[in-house]
Amino acid sequence: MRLPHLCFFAASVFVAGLSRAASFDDRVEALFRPPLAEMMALSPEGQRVAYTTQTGRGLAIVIMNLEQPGPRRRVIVDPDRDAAFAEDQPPAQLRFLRWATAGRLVFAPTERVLPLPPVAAGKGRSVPNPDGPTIFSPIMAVDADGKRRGTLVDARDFTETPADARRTLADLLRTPMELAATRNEPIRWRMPHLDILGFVPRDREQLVIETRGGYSMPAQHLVDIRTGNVRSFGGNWPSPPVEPQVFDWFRLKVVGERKDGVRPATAWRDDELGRVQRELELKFPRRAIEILDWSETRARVLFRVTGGSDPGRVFVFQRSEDLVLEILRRAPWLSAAKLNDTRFFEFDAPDGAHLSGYLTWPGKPRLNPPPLLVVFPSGFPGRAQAAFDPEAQIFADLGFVVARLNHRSVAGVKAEDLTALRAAVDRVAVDDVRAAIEWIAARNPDRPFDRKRVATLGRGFGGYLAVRALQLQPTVFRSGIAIDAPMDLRPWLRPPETVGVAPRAKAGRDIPAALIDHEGADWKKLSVLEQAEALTNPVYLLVEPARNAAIDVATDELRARLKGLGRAPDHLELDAGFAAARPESRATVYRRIEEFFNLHLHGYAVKIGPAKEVE
Amino acid sequence: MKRIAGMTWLVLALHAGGLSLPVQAADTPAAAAAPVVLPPMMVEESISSVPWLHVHAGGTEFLSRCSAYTTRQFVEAWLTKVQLLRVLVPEEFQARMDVPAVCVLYGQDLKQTVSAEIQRELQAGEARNGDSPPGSRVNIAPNMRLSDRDMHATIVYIDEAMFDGSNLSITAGHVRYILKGRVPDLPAWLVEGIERTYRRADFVLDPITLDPLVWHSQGESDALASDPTRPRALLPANELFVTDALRAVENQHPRRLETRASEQELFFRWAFVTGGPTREALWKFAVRAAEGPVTEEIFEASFGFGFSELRDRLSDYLPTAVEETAWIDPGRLPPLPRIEVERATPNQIARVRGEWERLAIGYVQRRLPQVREPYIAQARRTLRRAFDAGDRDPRLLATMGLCEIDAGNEGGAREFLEPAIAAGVVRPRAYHEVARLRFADLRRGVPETKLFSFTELAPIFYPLRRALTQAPPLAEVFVLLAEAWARCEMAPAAAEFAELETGARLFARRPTVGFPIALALARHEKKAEAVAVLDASAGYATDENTRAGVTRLRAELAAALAQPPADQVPAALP
Repeated sequence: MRLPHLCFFAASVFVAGLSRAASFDDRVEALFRPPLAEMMALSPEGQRVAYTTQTGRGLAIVIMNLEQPGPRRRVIVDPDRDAAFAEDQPPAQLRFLRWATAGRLVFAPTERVLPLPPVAAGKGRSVPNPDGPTIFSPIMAVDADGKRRGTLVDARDFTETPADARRTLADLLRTPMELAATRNEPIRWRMPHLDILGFVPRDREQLVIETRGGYSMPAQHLVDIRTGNVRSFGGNWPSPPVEPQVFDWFRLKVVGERKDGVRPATAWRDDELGRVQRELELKFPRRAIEILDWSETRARVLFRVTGGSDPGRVFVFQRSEDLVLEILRRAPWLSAAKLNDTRFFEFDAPDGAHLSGYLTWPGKPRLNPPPLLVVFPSGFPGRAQAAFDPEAQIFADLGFVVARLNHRSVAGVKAEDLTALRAAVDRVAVDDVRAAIEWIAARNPDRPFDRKRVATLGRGFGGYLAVRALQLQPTVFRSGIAIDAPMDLRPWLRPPETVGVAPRAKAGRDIPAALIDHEGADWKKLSVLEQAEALTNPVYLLVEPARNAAIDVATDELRARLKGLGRAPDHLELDAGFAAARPESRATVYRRIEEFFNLHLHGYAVKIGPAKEVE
Repeated sequence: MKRIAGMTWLVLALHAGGLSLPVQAADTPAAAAAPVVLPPMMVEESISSVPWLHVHAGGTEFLSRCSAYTTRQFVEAWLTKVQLLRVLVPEEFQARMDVPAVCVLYGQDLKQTVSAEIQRELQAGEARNGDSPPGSRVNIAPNMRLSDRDMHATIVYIDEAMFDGSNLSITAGHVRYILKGRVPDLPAWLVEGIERTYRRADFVLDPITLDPLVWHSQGESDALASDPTRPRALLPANELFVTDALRAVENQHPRRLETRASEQELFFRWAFVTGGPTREALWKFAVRAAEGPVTEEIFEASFGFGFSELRDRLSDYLPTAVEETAWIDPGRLPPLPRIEVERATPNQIARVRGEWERLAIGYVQRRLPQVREPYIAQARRTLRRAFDAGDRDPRLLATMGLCEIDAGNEGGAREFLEPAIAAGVVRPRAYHEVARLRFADLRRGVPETKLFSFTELAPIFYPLRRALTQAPPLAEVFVLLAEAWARCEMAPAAAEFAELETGARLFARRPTVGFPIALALARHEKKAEAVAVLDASAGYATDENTRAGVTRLRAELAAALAQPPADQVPAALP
């Protein structure tokens, strides 16, 4: 008689489990979906906005009318993009997006360069192809109503042949293809890169571009954005400055500079924009304001607001009305009510260092008080933590209070910190985290966290610090997660010069090597590996194999040593999808991390007793 | 929601029985070209044989010439609606008055509500001015609310054949009145937000139903409902909660004003409909906002998040608000008080009816002064009838005294007011008027700089301090108290200072109250306290004179505070 009930119960549990898993996957997918409006542009009269949006691996531009809001026009950037080409390339991006006039938008996808295959040079040898490469560098335009979309010019339109290939007057008038057709021998050719320099101020229907990298000297041309007709341009138009400088495309001058700091900031050289920045900061207290674009008269200003729990919103400041028009949420698929409360914090540590970061409180804690997860930045001093972090939301969903810290030197290493950092960068960082924990506890008496359940997490150098924290302060930090982390700094900072190693082995080392790698460096004291016996608390090592040889070797060695000590660490091989933030890969890994914490941090079986600090 | 069509949209200033005559609330300024609306004049007892009935329930005295059944039905319906209103706005945020409100119900032919004397006066005036025929520019409101500083009165025409108490509704104008009467003053954004929400609320069939919000216009609202990502402008929270003074000088672009009006409603609706802790946070925040300027810290202490987060939440809620109909469960309402409909005594008839007629004097004086005299005569006649019959009820005497003041006969007022306050009448304004008249007598013929002894001022302090024990607290009582202390040789005792500081706290949004209080405090060497009072009210000064006066006094006091103790008293009022 009981069996049917049991079956029903079991089935219910199974269904509930499936439902929860699907829900978690959906949550990860939603949190890691690329946000809208990576690039944006406001039309010269301020009536229209264009912004980018990812469509799978592709990219689209959305055009909206602010005066008569209605259906938004959606334009696929490159519908003919070769599928095979797209597969192993990062998602499409734009390198240029600006309104030429009130009704015509000019945009350009990031340039793609396809080298031609090597050619045989006899005796089985192959040499680089003397032609090419093929460069895809389309400059495109579309009307505000989505019509008349097309490529104005592309690199192939400027294909060049060597000067000596044109022997006659008639040759000078032939295109490279026509020239090749007239010859029996092959004609060499190259495609130049196309750089966009801007619009002619008095005639914004003329786009100024520059070709470079072909056979000839760099040359400037005017492209008619209505017809795509090209004519040579006698001027010597300067190249517009790139980030961090902010350029006024109407006044053709640099008006400000983006600054790295604990929060995004812009140092404005233009008084008017500086005033607008201050006005907007008053309207959005505790948020970061980033002015993105403005209309020709500056009566309307496009800006982005980030901070708090929100992934970000974009507004147009209508200055004559003193109104801020919200035009889009960067992640409208995320319900604000379901996002965990995130706040920026900053304070001065006991030694006077200014420390900062973000604190995310779980909306639905699983334990009372909830555990604390400290997330180290991935580099040193690294870049400031982003105001919105999908991963922090995931861990808050799992019941953690998540503290994402900026290093003390994030706005630049101070001279007074240099000695301590050069001597023991790990200790300085871990001490700062301890100070932060004390400060958070003191400032939030009504929101306590479990001081006995503090875990660490980091990737790269941050992962190294996450493990060093367990070694240096085992009574404070009870378990840790290290993702692609160097367990031994010396081989990581000094990778052997080997031929054929992909450059990505060196990438991601967001740390000034000289800070650590100097004559007085005590490598043993800095090494996790060399102090393996001090690693008494549970650690989870997540590594993408073959991403970095030094990390692979040190991780294997650490695992072996810990196993020898009877404390074999948990280990997970990551696939490439994790680093690329592919949702399915992330969801799998976060589930495994959840299991790790359930076992080693949350579980009732966990015995948290006195531990010995190892110096 | 179509059911509204069939309902009687009534109230304190209501309109019962489907009358088509215009209703003009007393506190609504008449447009220049609109017809002047006069209060009805009730038919004399000598002409009508219909008896008056009386009910005293729920803080209101009802005097009715309708049947006992209709009267009871009306009173029950009214008290029920008042209870439902308290679901939307807790009682502590409504005006509190110790003086019972007055409600007169009548049902006779409306043609009888304009006296022959008034009609003659109107015709004569129009003939003199060559105006259009009588009746085209003057209307009689069948229902009207008139208010004094310490009470209010309503007259209601009821067509008994059509009356259905369940269709009774409180008008938004009355809701505004009771919100505006709350002390300390509620901020304008809250009053306006509640009022606009109330206009879209239905308390009749499914209490309480909030129809979808209208954001700017129905077209814009429909567009938002169909496209939640549609661009929308919201004021940042620090601009939404700005003081009235700053509102007056901010950008007055019509779209901004429209946004403000809609967003005030959105905020109240969001906090109210979300319910639970958010609704509690709203009222906690409202208490703080009534006490002084709003800061992000104050807001966060109530809601748990900051201004920017609020803007985001409101923006995200907007597409829902323009689409959803919200049902609010009023919960279990308390039982209605016992309602006893009795034949009215001559005293009740004279007092209640006389009160209404007295209030009509001031209204007519403002709208159509040429017909003021018949209204004065009518009020005096009604009140005198009981007085001449030997009635010395202090409430009657107070009304008679106030009637004389409203009629411009201050000299004649005291013979009624003095015995009324001596008998301890509950009527804050009566105490104030007596004190004012006494103080005027004391100051008459003496220099403005002359100081008086406490003994000389005691007859002024006494009634004012009695007034402080009654609701509502009157701003003019604190002003007069401050002015009296400023002329007193003796310094106030601690309890008396506390009274002044209470006035400053209760009327922090009114620099016209704070300024004389600050002067009085400064006069008696409480300069730091005076500066605090000025600081608290400085942000609310809406006119240049007040602002300049406050600034000057503030500077003088600051300078005095920076120096060793001095006997200098800051100079005069602005």
